[in-house]
Amino acid sequence: MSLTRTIFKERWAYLFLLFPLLLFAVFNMLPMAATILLGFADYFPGGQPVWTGLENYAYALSDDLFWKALGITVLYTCGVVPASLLISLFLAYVIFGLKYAWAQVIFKSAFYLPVVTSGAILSLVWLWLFNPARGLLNYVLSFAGLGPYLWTSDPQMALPSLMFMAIMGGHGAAIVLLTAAMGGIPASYYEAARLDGAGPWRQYWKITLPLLRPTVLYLLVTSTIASFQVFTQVLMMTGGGPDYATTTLVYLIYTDAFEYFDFGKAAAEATLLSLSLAGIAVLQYKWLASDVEY
Amino acid sequence: MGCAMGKSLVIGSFLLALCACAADPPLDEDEIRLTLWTQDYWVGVTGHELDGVPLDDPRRAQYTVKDWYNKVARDFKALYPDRKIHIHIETLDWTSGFQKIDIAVASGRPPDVLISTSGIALKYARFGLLEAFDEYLSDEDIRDFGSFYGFSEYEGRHYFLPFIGGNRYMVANLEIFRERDAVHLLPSEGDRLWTYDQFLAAARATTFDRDGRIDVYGFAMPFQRNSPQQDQMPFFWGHGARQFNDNGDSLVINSEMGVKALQFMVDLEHVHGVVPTGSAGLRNNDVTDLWNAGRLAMRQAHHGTRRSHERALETGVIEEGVIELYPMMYPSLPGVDPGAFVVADSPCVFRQEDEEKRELSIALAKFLTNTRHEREAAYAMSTLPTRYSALDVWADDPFQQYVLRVARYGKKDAIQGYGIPLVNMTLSAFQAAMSRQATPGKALDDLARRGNRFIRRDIERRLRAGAE
Amino acid sequence: MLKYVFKVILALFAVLTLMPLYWIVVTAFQTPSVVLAFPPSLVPSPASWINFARLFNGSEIGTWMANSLIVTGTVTASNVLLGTLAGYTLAKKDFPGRQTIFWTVISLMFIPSQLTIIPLYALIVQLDWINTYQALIVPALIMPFSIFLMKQFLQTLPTELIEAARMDGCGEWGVFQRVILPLAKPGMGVLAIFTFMGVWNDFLWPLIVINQSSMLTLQVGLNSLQNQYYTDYGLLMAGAAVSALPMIAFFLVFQPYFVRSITIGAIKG
Repeated sequence: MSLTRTIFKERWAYLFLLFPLLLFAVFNMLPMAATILLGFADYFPGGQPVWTGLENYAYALSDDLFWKALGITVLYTCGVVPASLLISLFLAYVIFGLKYAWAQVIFKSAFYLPVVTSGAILSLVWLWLFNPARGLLNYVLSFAGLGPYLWTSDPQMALPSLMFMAIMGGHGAAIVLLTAAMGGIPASYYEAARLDGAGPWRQYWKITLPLLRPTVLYLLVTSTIASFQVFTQVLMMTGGGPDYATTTLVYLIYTDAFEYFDFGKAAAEATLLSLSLAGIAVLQYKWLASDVEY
Repeated sequence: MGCAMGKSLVIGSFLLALCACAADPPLDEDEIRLTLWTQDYWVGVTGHELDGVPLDDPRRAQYTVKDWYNKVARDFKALYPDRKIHIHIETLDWTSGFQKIDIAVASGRPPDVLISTSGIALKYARFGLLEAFDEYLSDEDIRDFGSFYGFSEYEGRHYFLPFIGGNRYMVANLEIFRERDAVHLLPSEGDRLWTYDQFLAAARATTFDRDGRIDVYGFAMPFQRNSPQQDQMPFFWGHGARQFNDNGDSLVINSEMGVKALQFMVDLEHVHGVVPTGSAGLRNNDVTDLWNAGRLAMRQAHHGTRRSHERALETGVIEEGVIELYPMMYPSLPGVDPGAFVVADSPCVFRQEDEEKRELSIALAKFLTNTRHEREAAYAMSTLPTRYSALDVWADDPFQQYVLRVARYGKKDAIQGYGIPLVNMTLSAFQAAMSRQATPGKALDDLARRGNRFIRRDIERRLRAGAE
Repeated sequence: MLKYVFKVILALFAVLTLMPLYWIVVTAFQTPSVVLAFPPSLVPSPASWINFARLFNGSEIGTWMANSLIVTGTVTASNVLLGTLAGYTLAKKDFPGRQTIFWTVISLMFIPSQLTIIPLYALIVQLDWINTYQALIVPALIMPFSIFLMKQFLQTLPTELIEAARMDGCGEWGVFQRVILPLAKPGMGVLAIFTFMGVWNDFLWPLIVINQSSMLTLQVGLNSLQNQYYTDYGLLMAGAAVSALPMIAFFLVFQPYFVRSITIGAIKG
């Protein structure tokens, strides 16, 4: 069958994708292309961009802060993503195993509710929790004879504090998604496994997890992107400090663009960030994506 | 059949969405549209205070910033009865407002007139984005603005008109000083100048454990998300050090006296223990929270401190009888004049292609800063008038008289074109020293190296842009 | 035994997760000066409505709420519909260019929005959309993660179901409507909640494309109530509590969709 005939035969597929792709082309790809091009230019607001080849890349890569920010970002991602995923999988498993529907709803809500608050407000709340003098964390720890700790005010503790906040705070979405996906696994599978004498752990390992793979892949890819691009908390809580201890890549890009008005360098860094993310996403995909079907 | 219905629903909703996008408001060809963006200078006023109060009433001090600008816009339009002028006014909040300006400027769509801080105006002047006012002012105007006009200078031309004057000084909470029987430790003569030893004695006397909960601190200073020019530089100036060279294009903060100044701040926390631990992560809000709770004896103050204090009392953020304000100057070494951050937040005009719009934008900026408006704004916002002819507005107010008097300790060093871009870098260096990740000397050397590297690249970029 | 340990851990985790939210509510009901008390008071004493009174008297909060509902409602509906269509296509149809399109969609998420916002803003100005609903709605009508989510979710559906429906003589649209839509409900419910949450809390974009108070969304409007010199925690948290209510309601309305429905499909399959 010739290509044109295949395309014609699958015209519905293209029709279904047409409107989203048109919108993407205008509102996503155009700005993205502009940003990538800017990485090869010097741009002053109000003027015309001057093409400078790879100069921005050379400048960015020779900046020790770029490498420091990359290290911080990788550390943050490696700490937050696996921990959050494992915790979410565990919590979703326990919630899904609850006998009563109302109990499931209550726990799902409990984990989901904190997520409905905007990042800016949550940052303020956590700043209060972390406050060395009158925050709740030091207050509670003082009963155990610990502390007081400086949390985000201490260069050694600032990044772990932000990671702690991310690991404690953000499971609502993942749990909702995982329990929904677990609900989609036909009960007959488990019955068959039980007949074969498989215990709960084996059932989870052999049936639940494999069938959750597409969902886990989604969570892995999106949470890696979110962690690699962590920004609001940094802006609101630490301003990248103290002493650059929480200067993540996107925060660096942001300051390069809006404090130094060095859009070329910022765009080059953003492109490098995107390329790293692309690499990671492909690896994650290779690792987890086999097109599982029933 | 069900299939068909679903299909038409989908197509229908798309069409609807498209129609919504197509509807555009009709444009009036003759109308001249000016956009005026201003920071929100009022102190938490809600706007309902306006109800039933005539516009000329002195209680106008209660109005929101927008009411006032609307009135100014009306008066301005009345000056040009033969032209159709539309002035769109937008207020910007103090946290995200800067992002909004930056994005608008970066995408080449700035407002016509912007009223923001001097540092912001100079940042845009550095990129050649602003109109200069030099040709549009009379000698009389320039004389009347006095030294404030000099702050708007960048590479020989003047890019903003001084409007909302502001300055920094220190303030003590007399209630705490009385509680500790230490009022005599505060400076009381003349401009209330004092030395670092005297300051330290006052801070020591007022740092104590009041009730077994949080300590009361003698002093506190934010090192995060603040302005180093406002908060830390006074300690450098008091040591005779400075941030930039005379041209404002090189960091010289790592001088011998600069290092001493930073060492003094480090010692406040780690040797004398008169400031909260973890200063490196302290934000302006934390300092204010401590102050409002009556657990801070001295802090940095500004032109609007008294007004915002009254406002906080009204809303119950500060309780009665917890704070009594006592203004004084920053300490300095014997024989060295103290230095302070003095600014004039000001209208600047973004470069205009259209001759008529340029003329009107500049006229609007001048109209905003005439003597009458200077007086009104200063009174309403508790700021400093930036014209000699408007100084009488605080004639009957000893507190504001003092604030006005110490404005003469202002330093041009505080508002250089590179001041704003280097904020993050400078704070990071201070944080490194405060958290003892680096000695003050190393922290400031690193800062000078990093900052001057940035300035060199910036100058190259500007030369290249100019050559194109 | 292990089961009980698990349940205890679950409960503990839930309490810890709810802690920040609890503090928001407590602060919202506290008089301003108590907010900063130490040790932290865990019950508002005395409980007070003053922050809510200040919130509703001094602002256009009703208008902002309506704006947010219009924008978020439209964007959510459109994302669920378009995301399901496109996700289904990418998951279950085989056509030339499928992989390319899929990875293009994914790659749109890689570049940080803090930078792309500049050209996007220029585009919106060019279209003369500043201060309009379409500036808030159109760029978000479909977002990459919606398609990605639905694609991953629908991937595990049995292909035989689709073929069986086709055998029954249903056209492409019929297959989508009769077979896919019912089976996709849990995924769509999740997507609806995610989108609603994300758009409702969006701050930077509405901040820069809206220049007048009557067009502001709730988050930006609430932020504009803060002042230059100190954080008004009571007002801030009362605002946060009010703005959380629609999202909580939305969650409670949509959450039944996640649980049921798929079992139906499974029996059929």
